[in-house]
Amino acid sequence: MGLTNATSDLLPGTLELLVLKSLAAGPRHGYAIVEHLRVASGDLLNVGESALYPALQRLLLNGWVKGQWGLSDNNRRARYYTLTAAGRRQLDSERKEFTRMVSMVHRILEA
Amino acid sequence: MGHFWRRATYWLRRRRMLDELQEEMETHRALREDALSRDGNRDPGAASRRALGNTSLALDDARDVWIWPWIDSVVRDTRHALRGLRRRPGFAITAVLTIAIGAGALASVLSVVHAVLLRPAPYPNAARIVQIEQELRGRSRDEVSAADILALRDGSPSLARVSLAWFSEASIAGGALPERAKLVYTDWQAFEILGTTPLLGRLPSQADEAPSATEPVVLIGHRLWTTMFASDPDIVGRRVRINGQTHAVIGVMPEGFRFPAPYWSPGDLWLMRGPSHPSWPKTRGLTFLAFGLLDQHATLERAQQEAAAVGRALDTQFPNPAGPVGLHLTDWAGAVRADARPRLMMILAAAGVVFLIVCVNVVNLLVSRGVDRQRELAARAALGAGRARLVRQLLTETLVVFGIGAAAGLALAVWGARLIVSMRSFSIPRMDEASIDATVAVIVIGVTLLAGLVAGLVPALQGASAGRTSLADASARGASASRRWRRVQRGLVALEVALALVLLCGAGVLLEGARTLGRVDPGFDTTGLLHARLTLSREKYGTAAAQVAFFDRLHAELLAVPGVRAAGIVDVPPGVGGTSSRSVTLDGDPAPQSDRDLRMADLRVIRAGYLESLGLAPRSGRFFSSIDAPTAAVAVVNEAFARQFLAGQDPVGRQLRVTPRGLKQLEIGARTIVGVVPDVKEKLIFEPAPPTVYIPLGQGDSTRMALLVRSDRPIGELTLLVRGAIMRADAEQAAFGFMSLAELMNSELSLNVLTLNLLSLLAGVALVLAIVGVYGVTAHAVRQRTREIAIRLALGLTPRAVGRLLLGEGAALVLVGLTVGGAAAVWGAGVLRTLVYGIDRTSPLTFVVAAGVLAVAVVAGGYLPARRAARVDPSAVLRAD
Repeated sequence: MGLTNATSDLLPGTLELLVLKSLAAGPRHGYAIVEHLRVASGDLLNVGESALYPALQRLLLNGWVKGQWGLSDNNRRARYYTLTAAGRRQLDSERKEFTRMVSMVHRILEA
Repeated sequence: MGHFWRRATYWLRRRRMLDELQEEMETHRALREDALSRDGNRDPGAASRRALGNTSLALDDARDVWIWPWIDSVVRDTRHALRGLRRRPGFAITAVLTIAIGAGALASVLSVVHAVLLRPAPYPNAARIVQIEQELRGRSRDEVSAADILALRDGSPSLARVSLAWFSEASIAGGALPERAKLVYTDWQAFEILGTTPLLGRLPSQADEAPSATEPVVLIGHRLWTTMFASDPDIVGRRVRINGQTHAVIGVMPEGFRFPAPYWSPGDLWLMRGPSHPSWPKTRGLTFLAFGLLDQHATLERAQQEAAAVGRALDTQFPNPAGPVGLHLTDWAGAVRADARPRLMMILAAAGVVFLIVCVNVVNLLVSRGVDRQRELAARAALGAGRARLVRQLLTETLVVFGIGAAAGLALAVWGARLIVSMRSFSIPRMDEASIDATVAVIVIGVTLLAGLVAGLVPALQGASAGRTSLADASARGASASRRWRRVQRGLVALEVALALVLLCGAGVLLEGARTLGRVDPGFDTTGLLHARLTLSREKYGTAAAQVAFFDRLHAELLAVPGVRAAGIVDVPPGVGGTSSRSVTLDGDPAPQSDRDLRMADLRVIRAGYLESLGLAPRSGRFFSSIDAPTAAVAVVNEAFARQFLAGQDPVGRQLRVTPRGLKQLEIGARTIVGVVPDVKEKLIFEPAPPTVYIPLGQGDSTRMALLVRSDRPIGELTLLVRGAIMRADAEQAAFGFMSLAELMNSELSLNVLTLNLLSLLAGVALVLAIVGVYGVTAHAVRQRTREIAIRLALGLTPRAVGRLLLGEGAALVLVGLTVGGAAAVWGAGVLRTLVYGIDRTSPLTFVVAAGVLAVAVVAGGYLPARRAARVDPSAVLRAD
């Protein structure tokens, strides 16, 4: 499949949740986040840059992630994002909220 | 919270953040390129760029996260607007200048209004201070007695403090010449009422007034401290001699401290003399000004009820033949301003009208500009600018113009406020404090931007309609949209003419009033009369005989000055207002049954020679002379007295009694009327001469007197000579207020003069604006209609006829404006007559002249463009299309 911007298929706020989750394992730069989401979704989710970077800026603004410049595996300057304590709390609560909502939608659809 | 802070820092670092984001995205692309080439893509660079998609959109979105998008767009719009204005400097300069004039006029007048009416008095307790007055038959009598103050201290719990002020002038010894200083007798409670802390030293305490106090104390005002004592920092504790008595200086009051007249001239010396001091009269006459401080939790209403009860109790103790005397409290700060308020508000309204004319002019400019820009706007709409985007852009442009105009106007107003202050309006309280401060600036900028917002609706609407028209429609000349806007413009011009007419008529009415006043005969020749005042110290001239002896000596010295033809001595000179109304009874009068039977006459205390110094001769009988013993029970009355009280019979030989009042302890016995004097405008010049009784000096307290010296010498030279004469009469006696009597009488009219000057100035500005407005609109209409005019010319219309056609359209507008404005002007003149003294009626000629001037000026404004239109070369214009 092509490199479509997948955010319009996601529920609002979901991209932020997924980005937070992908940072839970450790610091990643932007490209690594996209790759992680692609692999983890089984090649189903391809996040476009025009969605990712504004989302990252929102997370930075809210203080849920921190950005730090560092070197990537192949020696390029890249900005690595790390989850903050507040970000970890946010991930937990959003995760619960998301599960609650999905199960609600699911229940309605199965009813 | 962290949110806001981070956003603020983002805003400051936005350039670096943008660079970083760009770099980050480039890394992202490069990493993808690496991955794609690993996967065997043939052109990984292009593919990675394609994959990245719209980078600038991502950057924009990210930036929208950082800052409120609108701040950014406002900055961008403003920058764009400034660029646009630079491209059309003609429009920008005209609009900014026009707005600057309007905002400047508004700010200048507002600075005065603010200083006089709005700025709180510079006392910590100002809001709780009340003024206390006696009240007789519903009229306030300004002053109270010592008995009133003592009774209020006991009987009104709502008044935490009650104090008094009695002013005088004193000679204070120190420098080479005796200095004259303004002296106020008050007591320690007054300083608690005001709450001001001294600049140096301490405030007086109760102990300073106790009989056991070792020596009298004095507080010194800032002016005297800087002038006479050269700002001596060690002045506290020094001894000074005031009216020959030694006082210890306990403190210096700060600059701007004015008591008891908070809004008039600053005081110099404050001496302690409380209400129980033996020197005050024991009667319930009118003696001094009184003030009280409301208790923290008391209301003015409650205090008023208590004061009324105190007043009733006092009235039984001191019965008054003229009726019960009550006590009345007023809000101190408010009472002082009441006089100047209506006229200042009127001037402010006039400035508002000028501002309105300015707005109308600018709206017209904007309409013209909008019509000229239809193509540009349509082009931008075609290129994808949304309607909201266009409207916002146009609104920003207007606001930028108004903002620059407001700033320029404030700069102009700094000068304007100085101009108004320099108009020598002595009698307007606190006017000298007028300046452009933060409050005035904020109000003016706010009003101007609000006006800009409203005015900006016009181009914004135009922009919106441009968004709807296609580029092709917009380029068609004479589009219906521009015709519609032309109608709006013509309506605005008519409105502007109407507004200008109202101001012009107002100025005309005042000018006419001033001319009438100038022709009023004061009843005597005012030329070559020098005025001066002096106050004798009661310690030195305590008896009537001593006072008479001094004034006899002074009179002789004055007449000995070469060139002096006459000298007069009087307690209150003519034409300066003030009330000294007394009830009088004539022999044979029945005892007054009610207040209405009382005859009220003004009383003047004069020395023999005063009436002659005014150049008057007796109508009947004689004036006072040296043959009258100092105690002679005689009086001279004026013709108004004879007319009103004696039905025109000759009063000479009749007996007269004057009711005593206050400190001036006149004997109550009968006086014989010995002569009748022609009417002199004793009060303000436009008021009819009141019935007046003149009695000889020396039959009561005559310490505060005025000199009138008639000579052909120039005033400056005469002043020096008169000062010398006073020195020879008493080397320690100070005198002040040297000026020609004519000038003094004019200064009493200062509020009138100020109103006239300002309104004339504003009307002049309005006239110029109206001319500019009509010129602009006509010029634009001609530009818009060049094609139409060319066709008309090509079809055989003569250039003269074209000029007539355009001028005729302008004239029709003016006529509409004059009709509407005329009605408003007649109403406005009615309002003016109630506000300004001395305008009884206005001749219709004033209105006709004002309308004529305006019509001619405005039509002339339209003449130039009309002539240009008539000279259009039809073939050139038609070919150009």
